[in-house]
Amino acid sequence: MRSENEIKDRIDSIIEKLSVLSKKKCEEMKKPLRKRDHRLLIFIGKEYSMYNYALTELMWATS
Amino acid sequence: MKKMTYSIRSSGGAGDVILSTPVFRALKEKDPDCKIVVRCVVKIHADIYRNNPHIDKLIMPSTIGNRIRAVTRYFKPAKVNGFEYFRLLPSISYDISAAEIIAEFVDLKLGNPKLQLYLTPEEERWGKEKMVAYGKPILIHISSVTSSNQHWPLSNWEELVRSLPEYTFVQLGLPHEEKVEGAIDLRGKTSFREALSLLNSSLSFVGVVSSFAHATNAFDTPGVVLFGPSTPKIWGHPNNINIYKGLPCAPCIDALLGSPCPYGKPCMTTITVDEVRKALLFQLEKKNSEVSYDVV
Repeated sequence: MRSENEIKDRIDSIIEKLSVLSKKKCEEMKKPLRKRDHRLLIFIGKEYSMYNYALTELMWATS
Repeated sequence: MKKMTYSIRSSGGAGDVILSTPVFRALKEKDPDCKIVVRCVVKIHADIYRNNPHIDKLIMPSTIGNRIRAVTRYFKPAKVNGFEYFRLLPSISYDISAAEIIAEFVDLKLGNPKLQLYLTPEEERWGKEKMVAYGKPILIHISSVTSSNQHWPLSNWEELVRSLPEYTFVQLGLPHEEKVEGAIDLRGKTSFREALSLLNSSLSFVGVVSSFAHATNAFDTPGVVLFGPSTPKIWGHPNNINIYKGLPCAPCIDALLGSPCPYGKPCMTTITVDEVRKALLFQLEKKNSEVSYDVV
């Protein structure tokens, strides 16, 4: 079993990743529709969903 | 100054076409002198846009005409070549409604996202007369053309109908869709415009995400819509109670589309008859109440 600090570090790194993804998405959405990189948006959507799920599970495990 | 002409080709399913209707109003508000020409590729698209006062010219589908247009389009492409927002996989990459995404195709921000369908007075009267005959009619539509993952178990539909004997459930849809025992069967017995007239005069609507679920917004019909693989963020409307479990695997509609859910579609099967019934009863009483309802 991992120590509490190790798990907290993991949670922090996931939160950071989610924040980067949100920021990138915001930047992309500010562009007009035709100039948006839709492949990037789909990738961000996929990654966000995955990390968000991981975060929810880790939060549950540590609650 | 030369008039701006928007030549738009209709695209997508009936639901997608209904979702595009506020864009024409917004275009006219932005530029009242602009001309909007819509070329319909199938009859149902023309049925949806018919009588829309913001469309200056509606070109009906015809086999020969479409072939000629396909050739001319090659040399002279339309200003807006269809609102194919679904190609952007919106449920994965967008957080705004489908109507708002469609508006971005013509560089607009939608001020008013209300959908618009225009029935003639005769159509309205026809729908009213039909529905009055049923007494407390509630329309149901249980199937989605897009994906069978959106289906709620038939036994649940039948239990819902049985649990509210004081109401008449009227089933819309295509003839091959499953029949709900206890409901008046209008599958395949009405034209699309007639079905819209019935929806306009019904007390409420319960269904999966489909063209009829979108049409409720145009008629301010308070409905209950069951979301599983798709998300109310993109396809929901404020007049409806959108029941959505938000499972970690959802929304999957843009990833799976018609492919079967590997988990046995828990996003739909976990929606209980009781919560749909309660939401429906709330909607039926809504006209006399301003209480807000928390979406699941």
